Amino acid sequence: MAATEGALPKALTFGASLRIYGKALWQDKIALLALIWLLLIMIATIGVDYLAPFSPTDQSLRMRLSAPMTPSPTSALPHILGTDALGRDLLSRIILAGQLSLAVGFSGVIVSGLVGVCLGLLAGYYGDRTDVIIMRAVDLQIGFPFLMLAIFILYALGPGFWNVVLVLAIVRWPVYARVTRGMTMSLREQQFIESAKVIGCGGGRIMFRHILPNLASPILVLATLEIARLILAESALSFLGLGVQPPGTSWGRMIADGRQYIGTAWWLVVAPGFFIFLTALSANLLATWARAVTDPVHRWRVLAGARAGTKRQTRTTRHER
Amino acid sequence: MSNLSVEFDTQEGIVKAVDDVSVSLNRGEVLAIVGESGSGKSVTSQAIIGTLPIPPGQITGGQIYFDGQNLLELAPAKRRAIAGARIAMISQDAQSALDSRFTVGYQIGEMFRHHRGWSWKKSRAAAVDLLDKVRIPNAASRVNDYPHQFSGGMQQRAVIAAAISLEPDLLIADEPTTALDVTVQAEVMRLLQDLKTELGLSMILVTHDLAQAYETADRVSVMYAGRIVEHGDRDQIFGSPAHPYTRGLFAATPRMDQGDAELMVIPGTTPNLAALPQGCAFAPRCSNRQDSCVRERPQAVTIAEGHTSACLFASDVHAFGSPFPKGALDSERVGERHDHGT
Amino acid sequence: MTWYLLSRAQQSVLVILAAFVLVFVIGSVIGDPVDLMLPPEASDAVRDQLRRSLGFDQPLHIQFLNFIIRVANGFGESIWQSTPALPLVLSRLPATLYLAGCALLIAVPASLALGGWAALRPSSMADRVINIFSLGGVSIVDFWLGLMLVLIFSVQLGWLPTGGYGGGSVAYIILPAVTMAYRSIGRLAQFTRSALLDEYAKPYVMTLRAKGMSERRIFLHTIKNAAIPIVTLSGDEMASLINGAIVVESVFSWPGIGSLLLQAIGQRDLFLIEAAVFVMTVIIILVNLLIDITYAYLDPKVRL
Repeated sequence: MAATEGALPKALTFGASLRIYGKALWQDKIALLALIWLLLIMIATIGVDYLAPFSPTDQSLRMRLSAPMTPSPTSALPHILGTDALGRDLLSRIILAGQLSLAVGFSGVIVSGLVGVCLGLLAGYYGDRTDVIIMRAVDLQIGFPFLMLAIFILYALGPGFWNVVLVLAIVRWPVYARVTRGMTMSLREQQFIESAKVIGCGGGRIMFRHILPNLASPILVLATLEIARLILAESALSFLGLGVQPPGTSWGRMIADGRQYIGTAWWLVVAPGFFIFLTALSANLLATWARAVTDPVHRWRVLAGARAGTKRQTRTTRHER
Repeated sequence: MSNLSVEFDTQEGIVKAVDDVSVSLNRGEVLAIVGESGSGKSVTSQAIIGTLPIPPGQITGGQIYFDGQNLLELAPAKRRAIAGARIAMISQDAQSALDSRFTVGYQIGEMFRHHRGWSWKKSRAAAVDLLDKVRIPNAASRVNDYPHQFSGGMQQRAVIAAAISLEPDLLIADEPTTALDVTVQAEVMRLLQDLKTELGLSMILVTHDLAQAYETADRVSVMYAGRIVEHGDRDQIFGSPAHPYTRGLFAATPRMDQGDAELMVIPGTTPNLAALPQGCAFAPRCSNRQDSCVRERPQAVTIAEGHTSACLFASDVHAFGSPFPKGALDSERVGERHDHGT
Repeated sequence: MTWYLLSRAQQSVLVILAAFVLVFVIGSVIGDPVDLMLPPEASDAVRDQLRRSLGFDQPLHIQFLNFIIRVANGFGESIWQSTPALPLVLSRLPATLYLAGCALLIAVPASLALGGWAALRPSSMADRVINIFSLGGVSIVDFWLGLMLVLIFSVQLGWLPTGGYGGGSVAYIILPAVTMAYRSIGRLAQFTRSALLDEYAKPYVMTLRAKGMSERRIFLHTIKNAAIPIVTLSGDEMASLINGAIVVESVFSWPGIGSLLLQAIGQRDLFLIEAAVFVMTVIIILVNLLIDITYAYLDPKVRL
């Protein structure tokens, strides 16, 4: 019963639902802060040339390894987060490095998501042998330690941006496939899919026009979680020297590079790691919030602006009615 | 119990699941609360024993007196001491009422352990006796079984065993047989009746099964949309119901003497509690509806000693007399139990 | 039960075989083994000679046979250490398991306490703080956390050593184990909370309330019911802890398989890398198998 209701959300116009979600977001200040941070970091990294306080590549031997808040001789602004071993402004470097970190996160999610969702749809919709083959592959791969696999493949392929994306896609697609398959299977049995079949819709049309839209919100939630995960994974790979290669840099690479100065210039390690932490935490917080808001069982509570609901309360209510 | 009201905060707004319900029960008596699903029967019984989920539930008014104490004003610890020990409950679905990770014996024994502080050994021995009492064969060995090793009827018996373990004064049976096969239903009901006589229990039987109510109850309350629409002695209710809803229920019950005759069906469905009509809640489905029914909410009127009905035309309905042919009630059971598929 | 165990064990064997093939495919097909073993500046003559001497010029199926023979002989000789790779990896295994085990010993009780606390007071302030704290666990870069802990507890306060094995003494394992545990705490605490809340929504809890049981006794029931999914996930955590050991070990110079793997990558020691990857994969598969057996044992319905 719950599944039926969940699958067929009340039709709302785009504008109306945007307004409702916006209001709910406004009420949850933590989720709001998370969203603001993510937007800020995205805008800053895209517009690094205009928004960074210093040029991220300008070196200055005189200013090398300056502590945070050291005034700059060339600008009115101080070096807020200090400078690195080549005297480059750390904050500007971090913003520049964020470009690659976020790019890997987003591209990885898009590629692995596309592959995983398509295969999950196929497995869930057609069932039988298609399902068995795809799910065997999923099970097999989930049995493998993912970081280990990524390290080994990347070692064989050689480092580089697209190789990192490719490897992350190879290791993470089963997550989407599993989720998509499960939901597709339950949707497949439902009335509106049956009706679509009766009026002669083909498999592809049903999958992409009728099933996929119903899976959009859980998949988006999953993708948000995965972005956080991939940013972390990228930093680990870069830390190991298998990710981004110089002169390109990413947050993980910055931590790795700063490690040798940890005794003398702690900010080189602390600052980039903190940026990863805040960004991943924001993505996770936002995903948790989005899950609560889009979950048909939970959402009326969140949207009504009532005290955050718990499963216990909601379920019993349904039972009682 | 008087003027009890319970509200639920749900998706569609505040719902009055139980609205101004008053009933009373004397020692050793059996009261049947009858009604369709969603009429507030179960919520009422949960309010009495204190298992209402709060929130979203909220008791908004009324008192529940048990032995001179208002249960709703008791401290939680005292309330818990009464629940289980003096008021016990049997729920609809024994399978989910039992915890699948603990043995049946443990779940009966913990009553003694918790309320009386007995040792586990002594509690277990008592559990064996109880399983014996509820007629489970080989009680001594089955006491160590897990619930899933029991059949549905045996699970319900185990639940009953736990409920009667401390010889409570009041037993609330919330549709105790809904989940069971027809033949098993009869056995469980017989067991309950025997236990009631043996232990001198008072009992509240919540059911949608009129035949069960007729066989077991001394008095009957009929609930509809969170309100008691009719209340009276068993013979008053069955002899000459004074509310159209009660009549509708009777007409919808299969009877032995009617053979294959078509069953009457009450048209429509149970109303949405979040959007009750202004007048009589049953009016939209009532075959005797008058204009005034839609405007005015009927209050309970007394028709005879101990017989009340919340219908504007109670005495007219009452005058129809018995819905059953002469002798049908005595000679045969009102009808073999059929599950109406709640 | 026996049937279940057999089919489960068979599945594990299949995954191990798949891992075996995968190691070959990645090492010899996706990557050019000669490129992977020699520094980029090596001359073509050197490359050809190595290619011929190791049989990498043969057709693939012959290479695969060679690979099987090589694996049987301990994955071939490590170029860096000049000993068979497999024993070298196995000698590092205890340190990795010790570290991952200690991390799990920290993570599980901490998660139960945090998750349980949050579940008993849903939507309270404590619940929110615990929620953010555990989300932090899955948002933090573990090697960065390790470096931060070193910075605070070793460099600034001087309480604990910065790294090394120290003969396995407690002082040496605290920082790496805590570093690894935090991520698991993040996942496990959240899971414990939702598993417990699910249990509290079940009808048997209402029965227990109707029986007048105390909240403590009810918690005993719910936690035992929630234990099965929690144990299962703890097993998953053991697997991801072993996985995460790769990076954390290198931060703390912990002499486990993880730091060996990294050194091997630095030395372009392909055979050693293959052995390390294979051994770690097998360990994780075995841990998963062990968890499923425990699961079957815990659940009275499967036990039959």
